[in-house]
Amino acid sequence: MTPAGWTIRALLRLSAGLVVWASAFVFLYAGFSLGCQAWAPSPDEGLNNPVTFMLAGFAVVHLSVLALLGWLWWRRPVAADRGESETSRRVRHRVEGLVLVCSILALVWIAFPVFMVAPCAG
Amino acid sequence: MAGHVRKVITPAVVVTSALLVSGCGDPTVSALAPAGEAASEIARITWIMIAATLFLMVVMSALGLHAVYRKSDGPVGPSPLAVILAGGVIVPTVVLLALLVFGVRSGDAMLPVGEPAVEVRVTAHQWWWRFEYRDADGGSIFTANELHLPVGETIDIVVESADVIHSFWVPALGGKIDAIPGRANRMRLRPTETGQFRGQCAEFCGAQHARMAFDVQVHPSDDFHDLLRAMSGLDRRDTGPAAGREAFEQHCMECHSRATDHDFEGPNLARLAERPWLGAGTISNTPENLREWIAGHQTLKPGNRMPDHGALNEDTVEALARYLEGE
Amino acid sequence: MNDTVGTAEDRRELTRLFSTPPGLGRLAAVNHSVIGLRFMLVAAMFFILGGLLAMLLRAQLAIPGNEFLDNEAYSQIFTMHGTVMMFLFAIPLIEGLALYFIPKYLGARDLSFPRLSAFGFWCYLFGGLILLGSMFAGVAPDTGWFMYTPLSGREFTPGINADVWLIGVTFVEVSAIAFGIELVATVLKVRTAGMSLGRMPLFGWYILITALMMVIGFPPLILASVLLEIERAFGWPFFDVALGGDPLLWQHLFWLFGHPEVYIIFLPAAATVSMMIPTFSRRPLAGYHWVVGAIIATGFISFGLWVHHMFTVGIPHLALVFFSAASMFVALPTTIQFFAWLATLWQGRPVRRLPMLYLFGFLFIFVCGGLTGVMLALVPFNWQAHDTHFVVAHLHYVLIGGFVFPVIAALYYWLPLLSGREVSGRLGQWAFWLLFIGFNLTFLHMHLTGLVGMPRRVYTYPEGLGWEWLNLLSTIGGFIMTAGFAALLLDVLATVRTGARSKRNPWQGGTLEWSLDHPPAVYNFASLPEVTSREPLWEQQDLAIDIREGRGYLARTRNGWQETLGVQAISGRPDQIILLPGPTYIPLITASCLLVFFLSFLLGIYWLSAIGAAASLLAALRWAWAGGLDRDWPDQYAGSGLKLPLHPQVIEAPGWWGMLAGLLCNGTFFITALFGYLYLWAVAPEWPPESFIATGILLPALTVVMALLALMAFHQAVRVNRLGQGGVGTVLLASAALSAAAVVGCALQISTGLPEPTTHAYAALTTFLLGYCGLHALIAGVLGVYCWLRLRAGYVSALRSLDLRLSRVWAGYTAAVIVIAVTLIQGLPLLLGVGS
Repeated sequence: MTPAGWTIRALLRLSAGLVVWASAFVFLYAGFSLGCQAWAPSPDEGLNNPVTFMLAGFAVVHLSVLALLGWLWWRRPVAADRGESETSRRVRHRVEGLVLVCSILALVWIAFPVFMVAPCAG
Repeated sequence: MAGHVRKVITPAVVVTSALLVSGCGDPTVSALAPAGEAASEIARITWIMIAATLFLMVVMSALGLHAVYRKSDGPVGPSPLAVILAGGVIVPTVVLLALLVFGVRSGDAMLPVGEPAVEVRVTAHQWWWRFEYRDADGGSIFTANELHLPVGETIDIVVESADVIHSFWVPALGGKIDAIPGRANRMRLRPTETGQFRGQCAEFCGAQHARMAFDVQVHPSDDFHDLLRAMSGLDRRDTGPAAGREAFEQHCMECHSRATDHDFEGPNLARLAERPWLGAGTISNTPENLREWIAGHQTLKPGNRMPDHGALNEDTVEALARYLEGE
Repeated sequence: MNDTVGTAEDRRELTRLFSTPPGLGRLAAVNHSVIGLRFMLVAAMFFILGGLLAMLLRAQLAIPGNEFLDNEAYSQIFTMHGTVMMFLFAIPLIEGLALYFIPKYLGARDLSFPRLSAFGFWCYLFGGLILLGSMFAGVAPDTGWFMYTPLSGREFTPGINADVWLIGVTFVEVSAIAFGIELVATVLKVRTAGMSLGRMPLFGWYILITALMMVIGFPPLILASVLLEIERAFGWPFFDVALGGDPLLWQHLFWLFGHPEVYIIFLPAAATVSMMIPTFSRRPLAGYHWVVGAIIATGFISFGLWVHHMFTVGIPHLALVFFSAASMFVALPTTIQFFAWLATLWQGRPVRRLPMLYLFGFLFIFVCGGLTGVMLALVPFNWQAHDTHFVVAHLHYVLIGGFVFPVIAALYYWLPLLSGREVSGRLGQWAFWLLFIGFNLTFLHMHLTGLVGMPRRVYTYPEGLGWEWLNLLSTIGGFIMTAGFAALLLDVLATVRTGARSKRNPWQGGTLEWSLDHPPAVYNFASLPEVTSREPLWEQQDLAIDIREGRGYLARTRNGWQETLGVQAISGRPDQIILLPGPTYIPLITASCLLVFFLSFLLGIYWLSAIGAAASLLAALRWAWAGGLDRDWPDQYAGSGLKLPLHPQVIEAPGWWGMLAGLLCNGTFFITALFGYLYLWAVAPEWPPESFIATGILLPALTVVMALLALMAFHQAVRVNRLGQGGVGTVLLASAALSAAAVVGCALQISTGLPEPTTHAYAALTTFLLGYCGLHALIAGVLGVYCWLRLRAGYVSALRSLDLRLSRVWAGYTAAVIVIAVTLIQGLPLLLGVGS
């Protein structure tokens, strides 16, 4: 791999959790907008409707990806670049972990209201 | 350094007490003097959040001041990790999640779900409001800049725009909803008190955004329905002096109607005499003001969409005013 | 290795090489210190202007029914106040700050692309002057700084006012994009030896993320402005609801930029705080990796908040809740930073100096702004508070507390370094108390003004609604704050002109900028150090003296080159010597050509505008031509026995990163345009249009094939060149021809398959997308010819392949957008079964 490619991969790895979060956000928002147009469930149906199921599915899939990333973080910590000090590698490893935790929290945070209210009201 | 602390605290105390003294503002227009269900709920949240904000401000400022102006020279406090974890993660997570759950529930309860008892269609114009009610036979009743509502009933406000984006807002009754071209937005209100309130445009909409208010009157339910019946089919084209009617037909009738079932381009004037203000809240509706408005509305409300009537002579103005007053 | 130690002679030569010429030659300046200072000074001028405008607004609102300003003047003034403060003060100030300090923090002699920052400065100045000029001509923008359509459309704003905003601000945004690209490449590549990512001062992290946010955050605004200007000038209905557009598209695009913008302004200010707190606590910042994580999180999450400016437009509740949740969540990274600062202060031995006073002001005001921000994130509360003076108060708490106060603290902190003068403090304390009291007296109770019913942006209000004394108090507070700024200005001027000479590193900071002369030499570092920690001046004995006396990298001069080190982005291991350009007029000339383009478009002289665009492209190519080497050079000694290649001969040159950052920006623009396309399709009321694209399958297929073949030709050129074989020129000309064919393909699809763009938003946006593809293919063709000329002139060899590789990347991007856009445009009607 070229040095540039290596660098980009390292930077992506550093922020991988939040990339997944961003994807989840787009899926939830777009899925909601299009889902409510396509199915237009009545508010009386409560949570028992295709839109809520779909959004829940999106959330679970993204959460699983984050869990997988967390497992990888645990099992295969990031390696040092040539000439990189251990301190610096450790910083990247820790930041990666913090970003993952933050992403999981952020995903739960934006997704749990899906389970609280009927989706397409108002 | 204690002097510095005092200098910070003194103005804070002054301002806070001023806040308390001022109370909740003028009851016709204040979100803190609610007279509707949604507004009450929001005012309650507001007070809770203000209290929490003040508390957190004090705590965080005290922590900051202590960190800088403390007596001891050496390290103090818990380990950095504990500080960051507790203050930066755990406490805000708990507080914010609680707030979010609360907000989602309360917002959901305010949505216009199910059939309302009354529906009022609102069309925002640069710079006035058109209101349309349905009478018992399904016919339309048009008014301008005056909104009448029954107390204790669910009311849906359906908001549209005739030109640019505006926003419908009666702070005492509830939140606001934008009037957007091509869309009909719906908001639910439920007044809990009778009285007179002020509504206004909240989204900047051009030259006279500042003078785009409307009068809101919340009536006892029976009175409201009586009023609706009285407004239905109200036709004042033939009341008032003939000279005034002729002047009206010549100068005004292209845009204004004197019958509530007619919808013209400009504000409906059938009930002008009953309204408290002229020019969407520009001036109060007194005999002198009415004459001044007819002759000089472009001075009173520069840029409004009505052609300038500066050329009208005094007699015509007087005749028009009498005709509009219905004498 | 004694011969690598720099001498006094070398330092004289460095001074000569890095200096800006006198007299008119100043217009040719590219040195980052000069450009950075110019940015900051012009931004300060605009701040004074914006402040005076605010005073006019406050004077008008002091009493009900005031006739001091009429509605037209008031509209122009409040629009200009917001526009000036956001686009001409805050953003340029952080740009200047970063341009000036980043190389000094990272141990470099200049930025990766000094000419680009000079170009950015001219764009900023010219765009700012267009806006300023409109004010004196009485045709300043008057529809509010977020320019909502249809109010800002041709029907309701027939005059030139809105065009001034769209064109002036877009011109200024060119400089923001230039800055973003420059800083991404600089922070990643242009550092000193040993400065791995984990050892980089937090300032570098903050600016890296800010720059990336600008690269991604500004394209939506530029797209929106371009679309609205096309609508106003040529009647293509992107936002006109009657013809298939949607005014809400404008709001989405604007706030997609507008909310990240707040963090783009806040992060650099937080960066200065994160540098000052350790210095004044005498210990490194606690929780370095926590703060790095918080910065990255802010960068991402701030892009998921924009709809909280649109809670009242009628979007379904659950969608609002997503944004409400994200808006609350974004408070977390900020509180993490707050408590990291607090922990540092607790662990250290705080020194109470003048900047700390301003930091306290920051802390108090910003915390309040953050908390009211959380309040506004709550959907039902927002329904009441939105568009009232509550929001006005909130945003001033955030921006003045979160930006102006830390920046003043930073000003006092760095004034000894910038000016070589000591900060005395007396008047500065007075200024602080005037500012602090004046600020709170203006804005604290303004929250209440909003809650008791006063909407924002009203030029007058009636008596008897309980708003009188609230407003009067705000006006009085506003004038006290102005007195504070006047005192601050006096103090700074007095310090700079008559202050005592400052000793070196007066606050005893630990980062590299404090090792420099006060004020710094034009070349910053006489030699570049090898750093082994985050606070090298604290950890490495005598480092400052070693740097000054030339015991480091690149201490000797040779060949009249201006050199600095380039490093591997992650590890900080030096991998190249970067040759920096000297003073040149080409940035000014290119910006002037752009000025012709923008100004004549504004005035409706479209033929002249076209000439300006062509001239800009030519000037840019001439600029590019000046780079590179005309022969292969062996690796050069860099000091300490290290031999490194020159940057035009390295695979991973800064230009490579610049191109990637540029394409990231461009790609965001493209994706945002696709979002607009799909958004209108899904949401706009007047859809579907009467007819869809009708070109048949052959033409679009050929266009795609041409674009792909052009990419393959560029790829072949790179390969053949690397192997040292002949025939590169022929392949390049072939790629140019194939690109030209793709241009024709796009143009034919527009002309034969689509109705007039003025008839419906569908036709307008489809034409826009195909035009975008065609423009990119055109540039790819030009690059093919350009590379051919470079090859003939001897600037390209197997070792010096940057021109070819950059062109290949461009061709790859072009092919990608053509494949995506054509597939979407042709496929969507078929997929939905509405095609012809």
